[in-house]
Amino acid sequence: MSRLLLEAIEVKKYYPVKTSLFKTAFVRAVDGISLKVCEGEVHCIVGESGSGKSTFGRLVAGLEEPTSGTLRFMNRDVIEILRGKNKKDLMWFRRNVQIVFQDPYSSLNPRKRIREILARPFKIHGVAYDESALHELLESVGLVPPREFLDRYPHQLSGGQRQRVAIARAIALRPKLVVLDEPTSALDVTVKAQILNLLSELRERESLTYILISHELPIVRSVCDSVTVMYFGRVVEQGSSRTVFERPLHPYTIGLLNSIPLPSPQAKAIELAVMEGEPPSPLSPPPGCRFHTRCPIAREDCKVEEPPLIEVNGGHLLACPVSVREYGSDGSEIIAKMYLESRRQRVP
Amino acid sequence: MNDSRRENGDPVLSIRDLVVSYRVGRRRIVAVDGVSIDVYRNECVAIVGESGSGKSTLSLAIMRLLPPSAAIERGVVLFKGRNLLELSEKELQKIRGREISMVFQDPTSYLNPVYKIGDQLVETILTHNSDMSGNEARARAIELLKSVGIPSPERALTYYPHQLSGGMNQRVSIALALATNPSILIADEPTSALDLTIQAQILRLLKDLMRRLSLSIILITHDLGLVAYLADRVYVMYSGKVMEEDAVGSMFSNPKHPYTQLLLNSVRIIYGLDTSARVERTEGHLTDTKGCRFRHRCPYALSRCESQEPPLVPLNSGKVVRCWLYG
Repeated sequence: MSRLLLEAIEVKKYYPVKTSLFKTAFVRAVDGISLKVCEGEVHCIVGESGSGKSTFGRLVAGLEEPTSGTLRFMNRDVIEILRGKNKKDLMWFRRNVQIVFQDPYSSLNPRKRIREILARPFKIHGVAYDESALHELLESVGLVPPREFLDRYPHQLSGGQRQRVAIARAIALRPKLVVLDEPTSALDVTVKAQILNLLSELRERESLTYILISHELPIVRSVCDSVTVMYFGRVVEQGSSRTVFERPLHPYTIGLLNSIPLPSPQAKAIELAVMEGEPPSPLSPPPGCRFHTRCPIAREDCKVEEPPLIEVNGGHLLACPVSVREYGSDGSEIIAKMYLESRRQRVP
Repeated sequence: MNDSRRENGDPVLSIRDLVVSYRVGRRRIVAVDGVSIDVYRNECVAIVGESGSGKSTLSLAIMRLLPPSAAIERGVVLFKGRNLLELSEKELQKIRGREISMVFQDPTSYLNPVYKIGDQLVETILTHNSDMSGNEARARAIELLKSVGIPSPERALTYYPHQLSGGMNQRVSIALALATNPSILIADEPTSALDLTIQAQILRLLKDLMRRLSLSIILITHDLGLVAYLADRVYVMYSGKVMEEDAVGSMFSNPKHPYTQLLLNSVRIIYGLDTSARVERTEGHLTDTKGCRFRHRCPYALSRCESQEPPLVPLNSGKVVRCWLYG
């Protein structure tokens, strides 16, 4: 195992929301997330909208402070660095942890030329650079010839090209960790594939570590080493990509994986798993297991007690006692079948 | 199911040589350039393309819902023996929303935010069935909401759109579209604004509805997963032109046009089905209209592709391809 780069322990982020003049409720966007990311790894965070995955990404990148919990980057306390008066530490952190956002239309300043956008990190961190450094950066993200791009404005580039610029800016100072928040969701299919290729090339060449946040499960499945599945601010399943994707045990993960229509000639014959209902309101999450309202194997206790995250197999963490207790290692197939059958009866 | 065309007689909808352009400043940009499409009874036809391919413009042109800057320059949209492009606005209204309905990507912007779900449904039902009483219309609305899988439909009638989630609103807009028993439903990216689990619900619903109501669906999408799950036949569009037309199964197993191959390769990378696959880096569209539109991204481009636009050539078993490799 390589060196531990990032560790999150019970990280929480609550946002206050005024529900009436005198009442304030809290949206528990991230409600106790723990994970470890080692150097050179691609760790993916998967979840639907409202699961808190993007909020967690912002916490890791130091854009927001957690409400509670511990975040350690290279064995140093991130919250201390963010709150501390020591500017040098903060600069060190910012330089080593970068973020790429989903929408390259809003993450690049429309009034600056690509030259200025790319030079910005060097200026901020007082790192000497010259024209050839900028050329190299553009070449490394496949924008060739660089001369043609340096003096353009973002609006003169296509979506894919802009995302390449955003990636170039993020890797300009050779960070250790890059948080990728839905980096391909806004892009066309062929461009998506190009950006994925680029990200994996860069990772090898620059020995980067990625935290990839995405709702696009196929992508996650194809690129990640380890994965955290989130539902409603909580981790429901976590482990290596192989265990979680090939032998998922949490009913939510199983449902999610079986609800994607595959682009293959056989897809017509394969029914989609349908998870009934909708994610509950973030202001009033259900008691007990947050997934029990949509879960095909929910028991009475699930409505009362929040299941803890327990290790079921080497490194495979699961927040569902029912799945293992009652279905064992065959859970994946049995629960997948339940999703299909419960639905079939209800169709008129 | 595989060859839905032969089983179901003549096409319900036939588009022939449709050309639509937009005025941008003084320039005229052709978005849909000579597209011909057939839709048969009870089949789902997918129109696949990336942004800028003209697929949404095409779907709007069928119903003549284009913005004022657009003009239909040429072509025929034949529905039940009548050319929709020649009908008066009044005559068209009897077809639009009644016999051909639409479902859009973003249901929250499609539903009227200041009217209750029930009022919107009842109004639609009454507009198209003038002999119905208010109570009958209300009963029909409840029945419709039930058929699209909305729990406690009586209560849902009293809600405003903002009180429902995106997935529920999409169900309501499907119910609205079905209110008049249309024979064709045009679904323009019906699930791209929704979460995965909700997408699965809507896809299953569309498949059920197709079976129950012997509906034809025109599915406009960029997502090949949706196509594989729902569609019977596919038209692949690039830069305003149809590049390939095929039954779904053989399109996936045996793509002919280099663009279709690029699309499928990209999808294989995204789905991790082929880790060695690489796609080359060019993007964007050619602005000149001479030659093949895809040539600057095409690994097989010939000198002929520079000067001459390839025609659509029928190959065996219903496959049609626009490429000199097969000309």
